[in-house]
Amino acid sequence: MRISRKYRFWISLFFVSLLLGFMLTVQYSVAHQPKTTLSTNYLELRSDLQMETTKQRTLADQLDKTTQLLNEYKQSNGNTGEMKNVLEKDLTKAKREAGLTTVSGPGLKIVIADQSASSSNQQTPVPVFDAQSLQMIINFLYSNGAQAIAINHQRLVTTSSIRQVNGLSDSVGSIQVNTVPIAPPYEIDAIGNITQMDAVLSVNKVVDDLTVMGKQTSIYAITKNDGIVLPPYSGTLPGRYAKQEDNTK
Amino acid sequence: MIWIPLIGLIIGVGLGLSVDVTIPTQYSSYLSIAVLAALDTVFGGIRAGLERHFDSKVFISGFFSNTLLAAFLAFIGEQLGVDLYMAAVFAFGVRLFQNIAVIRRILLGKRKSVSE
Repeated sequence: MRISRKYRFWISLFFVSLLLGFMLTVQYSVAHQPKTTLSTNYLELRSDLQMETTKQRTLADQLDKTTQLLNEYKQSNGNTGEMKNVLEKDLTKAKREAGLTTVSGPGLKIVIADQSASSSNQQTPVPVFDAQSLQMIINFLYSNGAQAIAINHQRLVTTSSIRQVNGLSDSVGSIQVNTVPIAPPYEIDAIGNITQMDAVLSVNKVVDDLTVMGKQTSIYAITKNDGIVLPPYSGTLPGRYAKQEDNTK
Repeated sequence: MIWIPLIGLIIGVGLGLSVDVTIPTQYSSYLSIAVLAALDTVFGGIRAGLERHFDSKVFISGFFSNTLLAAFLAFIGEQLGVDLYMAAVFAFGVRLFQNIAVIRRILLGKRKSVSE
């Protein structure tokens, strides 16, 4: 049986269109596949999970504290005197946490002074003691048991800065703490776990490094309960000038 | 009769959706070139049909050889690090537009002759 030329045209066109439609659909579905990046790395997943667990714990703690505070407020509802007491207690706690109160306790006193013998005839350039070296020591202390720290009686709080100001000599104060110039000898007072802080300093060879920089470092452990007294933070607080916009208006 | 290729297209799309065939993403560029070649062949076939020198053998063989050759060209290009698929895109693209233009002219001419 011979199919006429016209029919052959339409039949072949039909099948080719069918194939084309099929190919187009497949191509479309491939091009619009949702891109899912599966992390198959077991270690990565584990560390992610651990991080999330820690985060959850911190948040749960926070929730507990806030709930407790809410309960206290609720209990003192209507009783102005009690309410005032609760609020004052809260304020004192906030101030203490923010570093706005004088604190005392056992801790370490680190004195970094210039070495008497000059070593200027050395051929190799020696690293210079700068703000970064100071920051490093502070970070070591904070990550290993330090509760409160002051450098040359400048109390460190969360918004504190330790900056290097170039162009000034050491004696004038090329290092600024809380934007206040400090001059050597640098005294770091840290309240906290003495053993832990001492250990981290010796493990990281802080004294040796400072000796290379031409500094003489003495570390005193003061175990007396009020051995180290840290002054309150005296600089400006973040909300002093920059006020939050009232969006409710 | 114009609805025959349309029905084929619709059935093909339906088939593609219902069968749920997927190809690996790295081969999707070959398929896209193949689709372009197929489109070119279809329009070439329609043009040939309207110009009354359609040959189903040429049409079917052209469809498969163009499609496979285009995909093969893209593959070779990728292996050599030369964008050979650009050549295929350009050639098929130009031909596609030429075919569409000719089909349009033929259809317009037909309508004109009918109205006259």
